[in-house]
Amino acid sequence: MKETYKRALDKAKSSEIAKKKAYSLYDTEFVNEKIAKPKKKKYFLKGAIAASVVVILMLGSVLGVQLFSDDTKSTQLMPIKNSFIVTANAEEITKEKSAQVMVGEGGASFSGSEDYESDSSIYFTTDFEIKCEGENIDTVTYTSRNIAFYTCYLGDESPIIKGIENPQFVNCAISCPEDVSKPEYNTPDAIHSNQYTSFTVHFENQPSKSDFLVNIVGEKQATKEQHTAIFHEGGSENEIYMEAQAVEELLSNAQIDVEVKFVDGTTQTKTVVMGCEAKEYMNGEELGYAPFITFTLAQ
Amino acid sequence: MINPCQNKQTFEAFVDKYCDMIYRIAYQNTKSSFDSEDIMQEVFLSLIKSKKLFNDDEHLKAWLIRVTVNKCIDFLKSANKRQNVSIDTQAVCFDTHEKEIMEEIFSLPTDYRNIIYLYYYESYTIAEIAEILGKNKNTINSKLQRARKQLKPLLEKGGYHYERNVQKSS
Repeated sequence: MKETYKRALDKAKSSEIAKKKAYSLYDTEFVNEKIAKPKKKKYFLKGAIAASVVVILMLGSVLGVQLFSDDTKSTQLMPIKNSFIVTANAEEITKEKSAQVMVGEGGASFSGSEDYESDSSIYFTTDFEIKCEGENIDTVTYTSRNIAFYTCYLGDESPIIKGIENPQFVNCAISCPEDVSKPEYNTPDAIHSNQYTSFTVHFENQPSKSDFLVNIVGEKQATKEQHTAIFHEGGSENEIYMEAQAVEELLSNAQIDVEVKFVDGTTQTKTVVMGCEAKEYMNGEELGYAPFITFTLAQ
Repeated sequence: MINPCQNKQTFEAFVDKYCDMIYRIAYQNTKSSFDSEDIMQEVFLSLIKSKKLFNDDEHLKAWLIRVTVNKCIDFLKSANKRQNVSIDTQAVCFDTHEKEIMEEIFSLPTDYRNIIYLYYYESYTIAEIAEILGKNKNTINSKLQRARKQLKPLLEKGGYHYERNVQKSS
């Protein structure tokens, strides 16, 4: 059958006319771009002038307030001390804006046995590059709830100052860092991995895809309904939404507490919540619109 | 890194290389030569507009497959285009046996057809298909098994044996 199928499909070819039309897309698109350019410049100039006016007005008002104010200890222009933000994949995580990683792309996946009776566990793994940004930060402690960290670093020196090992090892595949500038590191002996429920690192040794990767992993017992929703047979949008809903349910209370210790000894904590959604599109319009399952991190 | 739109010659070379692949995926989804050529244009237009750089040829190929599949989904979603088109009316001239197989393939749901194409025609593994289509490996595996089950009478008729074991999930 395979040979006949291949032979049949070999006959299905685009016409020469369609091919030539595709060639011409290049000219059409680049000509359009050239025509559009001066317009963009005009908008840019307008925007730059407007922005300059706003900056001048703001500076003027701040200086004016300071000149005529009796309060000599005004802190309006002083940087905010001891604050931090949490980022994942270089994007700030807020309550309104989550970081996302699509299942099947990079290191995000979930798996399990198709036979619910023999194994009802669902395993998941994501390689969100979670880290903190801010000033005067000494150390950062990541503590998981209902999930675990599967850390993997290259070289001889562990970036982890202290850690609490995960008592229930999650047996799943993970992504490992890759330092292309140091080929000697990319050998099995140079890769060190461990699972933690909590670990502390110095601010400058936070996770990075090049030498210290932290996979967020978990193993959850699914109900029969959740299992059926995850291993659905069809590919309809509704089934994909139900699949995401089932994974989201399994991830309930999956959180990470990020505690930052500043150089002055004070500490601050932010909590990041992990979830799962079916998104209508990923990576911009060029991929078209279709639901995809994504893991999310939000505050 | 590859920039498929670096210059006109490079772009044309990539059109030559991948136009039939895009056309075939679209054809399997739409059953129509005319619509497949339209989708092909849209895919190449997306490539130009994306200004994307690719790690290598495989990366570009995987991206084109994914975009084509998504364009086909968009196309099929469009209500006025959901009509049954008999493959008899199309420009491709299949012999009797080929037509029999294609009729069976066309009777499968569209996402099954894409998996069948990637597995049998492009020889991707289940893990690779899962990555390209952004789906769970188990989902791909079960769909492939269901598609095979549906095609079983044909497979047996043709004396065909699976040359690859279905990957079992961990």
